[in-house]
Amino acid sequence: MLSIKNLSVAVDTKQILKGLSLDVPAGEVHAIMGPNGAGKSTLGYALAGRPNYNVTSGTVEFNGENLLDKDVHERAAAGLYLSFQYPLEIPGVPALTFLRTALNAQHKLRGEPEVAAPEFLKRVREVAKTLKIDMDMLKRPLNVGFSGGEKKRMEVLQMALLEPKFLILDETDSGLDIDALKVVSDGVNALRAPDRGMLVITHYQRLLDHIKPDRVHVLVAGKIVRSGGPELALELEAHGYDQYLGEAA
Amino acid sequence: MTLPALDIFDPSSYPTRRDEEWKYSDLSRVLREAPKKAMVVRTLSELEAEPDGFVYFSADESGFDGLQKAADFAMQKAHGRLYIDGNDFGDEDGYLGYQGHGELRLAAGQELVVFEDYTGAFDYAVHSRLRFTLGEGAKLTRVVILDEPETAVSVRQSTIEAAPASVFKQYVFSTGAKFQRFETHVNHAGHGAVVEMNGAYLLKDKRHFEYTTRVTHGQINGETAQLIKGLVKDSATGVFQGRILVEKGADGTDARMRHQALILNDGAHIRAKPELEIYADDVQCAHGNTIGAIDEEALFFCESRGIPEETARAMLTHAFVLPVADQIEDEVLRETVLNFLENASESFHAL
Amino acid sequence: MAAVKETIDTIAELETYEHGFVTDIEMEFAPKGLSADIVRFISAKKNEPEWMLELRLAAYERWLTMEEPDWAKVNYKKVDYQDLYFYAAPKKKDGPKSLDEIDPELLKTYAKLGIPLREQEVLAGVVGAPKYAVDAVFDSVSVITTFKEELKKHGVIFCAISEAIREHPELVRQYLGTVVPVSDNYFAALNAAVFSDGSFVYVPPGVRCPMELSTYFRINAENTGQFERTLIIADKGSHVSYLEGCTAPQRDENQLHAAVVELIALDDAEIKYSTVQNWYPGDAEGKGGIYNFVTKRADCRGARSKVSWTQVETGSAVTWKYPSCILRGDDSVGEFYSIAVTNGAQQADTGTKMIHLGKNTKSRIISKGVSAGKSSNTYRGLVSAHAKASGARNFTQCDSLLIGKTCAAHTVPYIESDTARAQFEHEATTTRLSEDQLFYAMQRGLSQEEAVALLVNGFVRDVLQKLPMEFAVEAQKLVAISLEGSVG
Repeated sequence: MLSIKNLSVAVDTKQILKGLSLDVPAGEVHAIMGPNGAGKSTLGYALAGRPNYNVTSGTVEFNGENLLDKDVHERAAAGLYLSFQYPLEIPGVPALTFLRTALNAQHKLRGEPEVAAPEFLKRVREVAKTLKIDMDMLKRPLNVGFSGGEKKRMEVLQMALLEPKFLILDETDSGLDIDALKVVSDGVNALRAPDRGMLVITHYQRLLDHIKPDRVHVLVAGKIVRSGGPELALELEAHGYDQYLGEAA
Repeated sequence: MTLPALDIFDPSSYPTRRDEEWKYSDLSRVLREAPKKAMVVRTLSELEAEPDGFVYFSADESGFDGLQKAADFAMQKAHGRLYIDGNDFGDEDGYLGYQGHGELRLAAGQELVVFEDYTGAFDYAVHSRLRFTLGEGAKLTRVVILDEPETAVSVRQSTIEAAPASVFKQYVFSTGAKFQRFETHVNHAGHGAVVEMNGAYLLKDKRHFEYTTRVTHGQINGETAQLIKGLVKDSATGVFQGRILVEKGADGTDARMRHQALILNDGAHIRAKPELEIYADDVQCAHGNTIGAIDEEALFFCESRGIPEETARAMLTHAFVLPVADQIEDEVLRETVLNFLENASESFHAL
Repeated sequence: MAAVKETIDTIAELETYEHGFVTDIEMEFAPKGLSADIVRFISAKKNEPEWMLELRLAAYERWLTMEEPDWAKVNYKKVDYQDLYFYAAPKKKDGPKSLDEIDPELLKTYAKLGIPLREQEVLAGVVGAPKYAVDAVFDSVSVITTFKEELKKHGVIFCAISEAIREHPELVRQYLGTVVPVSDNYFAALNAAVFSDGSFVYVPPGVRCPMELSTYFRINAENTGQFERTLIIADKGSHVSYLEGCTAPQRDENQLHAAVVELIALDDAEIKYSTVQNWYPGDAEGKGGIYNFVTKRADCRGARSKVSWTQVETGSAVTWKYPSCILRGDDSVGEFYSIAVTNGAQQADTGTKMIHLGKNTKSRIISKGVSAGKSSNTYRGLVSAHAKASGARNFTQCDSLLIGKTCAAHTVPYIESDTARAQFEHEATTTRLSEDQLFYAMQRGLSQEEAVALLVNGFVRDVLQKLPMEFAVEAQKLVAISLEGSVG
């Protein structure tokens, strides 16, 4: 589903990713773990096409198409969803407006019919309920004045409504207390499906107790230095990243 | 950076209110004719550091010859502290005029604290211009006390050229005069320069004070922060004119300007014109301006605890302007300013 | 929600300036240039009483002694007043009595602009859609005013000002020029001398005007100045909401629009005045476009009166405009809500004056400026409190958004207080359109243009909400359209 080959990325002029390769087949959840500054967030941003994140070499195929050729919003319409570590505040734009605009923009680009307002609202109500988001909150400008936990729940709400094919979760557990973590991971788990892939970026093993990965990759200094099953996460939790720091250099 | 020509001895050069820059301060109305030239007898005292660490420089005839020499002495031999004593005496029959220009350069990395103490007596009219040039990484702190008589007419202008990574901090405290204008032009000529320009004023009777600041961001990543606080009563006038200009390409500029004023009785005047002029896009700029009254509730609270009204007013006044003085890093000067403000707060409320 | 959607669709569908067409119609012009004779010609054309002609001639004499103001942050080629037509009107026999007598070309023009001139068109619309009456001004004259009869039943007078001068001279004489005296400024004096039409509204005591009133101004003829004059009087305890819209053809020459609007609110009266200004802005390089030099002022003469200005300024090559409130009556309220969008080579210098004279007067200013392209956008405002205006309060929020590296945004506030019991609060910010927000919105599937439109509409939302519902949607579209091509 997502196939990354030898990807190198520079932010402005600084080389962050240095020949990273990774395959995530449909239906699987892969975790990327690594110390601070390893390039975890950079991977998410580069895949989403953030400006100033320059791919200097390598290829990324998404469902057989060249992902890197596409503009940011085209990647989104193709089904790539990045859940931000720090979701942005959008003053003056109610969350509902934002959501519906995004949904219809994606539909339009894919040549699908628009979602009618009543159907849209019905769907939002359902999802909001499971995520314990109050409808009043959705009438307020997106993320403005929201707590860290509320922002993360809004990210999950958006992914549930936009129904992307592939999710990248960037440090989704940061800033969440244990109750919020449960709500958020339940929301993500509900999206696990045979035709959907996920990449879970996290520093700590904690999130992986809730969102069980099929594979775990260790990212150090811009490269994947080890891959394994879920047990690798537990090993990292016990021994830390120190053993890999030498290897990468 | 050049200032428009003003010659205190030539009335035709006096700006009028038609001049937008002088909209709130009409020099030609205050000074109807040219003052008499003061006879200047100038003695440059021997340079030596005073016990409190200051090198003393007398600018009593508003001549600034030897300013650089005194500053160099302060930076090399003393603690980098310079005391400019500006003490102007006038006549009791008609204005005596003083006019002086001075220049001061700080080389790369040099640090200097300048304390400018302007006082005087009787009828005088003074116009001074100082030009400060800051080398790379240099730091200049300027603490100014304007404690002039109610008959004085004073226009004090200065320009500052700030090289890369230099720091300029200015604190101006005023009780006003018949006509008093303090004008500072700063040019962020180098990237990453940091500028602070603060001030506080307490004006009573018919006193007038105008604080005009002009900051130009010509280079990237410059910072400007301004806090000006003031009180007016009787028929006094407090004016703040601030402009921050961000030139094309001066990206990364962070500029903030805040003016807060209290009017204690009807008929006292506050005029504020805080401008932003922006030609670059990657900027964070803001200004705020508030005008209000003294907090009657706080006053009542103080009185209910047994503090007499006049004392309570002085206390609250002092507390209002205190945040400006609190930012002064030099302890000796901070104390000096706090004392000045305490006395000023008391006499501000005295009948 | 629907509005944003519509915005986005509209961007895709529309040309940058959709009202740029020219109507081919037989016109009657006064000779070019300005002189006392031209002033007499206009007055005679309007069958005006002697006092009106005298007022005009006095204004003309005054204008001759005045100088064109140059303090605004705008640069433009000065107008050659001798090369202008000061009067241009579609040819007709008498004033039109009904729609059937109006030139079909004119009807087509208004249909194309989406302005309903047939009362039944509005009535036949969606059930429950609010009615609004229209005064349509084409170049120098009013071509029709709709719903006059229905309004008359409520005692509301809504007609062309030229008609009001003839039919209601006592009202016009009492109020005309009392808010904006002829000597007020250069363009106001010019307007008083040569104004040819505009709207007149009088709402009698205690009446709540039963529908929105609106005027659509259309400049069509070449080399013609439009000088409209609007006078609205809200008598004690009355209420009226008025909207003006403006468009002009796309031409390479600059055209002058110098209007004067006077509002008078007596005790407990309320006037809401909204403007959607979409004059032709000129091309991206600054060729052509309207000079929009306008004096708008409200006198809150009565106690507890209220005037609210809302403006959406997206058009014109050069705008010089400061809708103001004189808060004379005790407890009166003035509001100014503004969106000014400049793109291409447009220049706008706009803002307001809130002059607090009465006790416990309140004012509120929300200004949102968006500059893109090579444009320049200035907020200029005055808030003042007289020594006797105790308890005066003002709140000002003034935000500028910059899109791109070649535009400029300025904030020039004047704040003056002479009273101890005033509370003035002014906050201003200037920021650029956030790249992080853009990326976030695009990651959710919005194209760059859509993301810009969404963020800008969010930025101006507080003001959009102040517009009457029907026009808010229109205004939102305009904001998005006028920023087309500003990024990337």
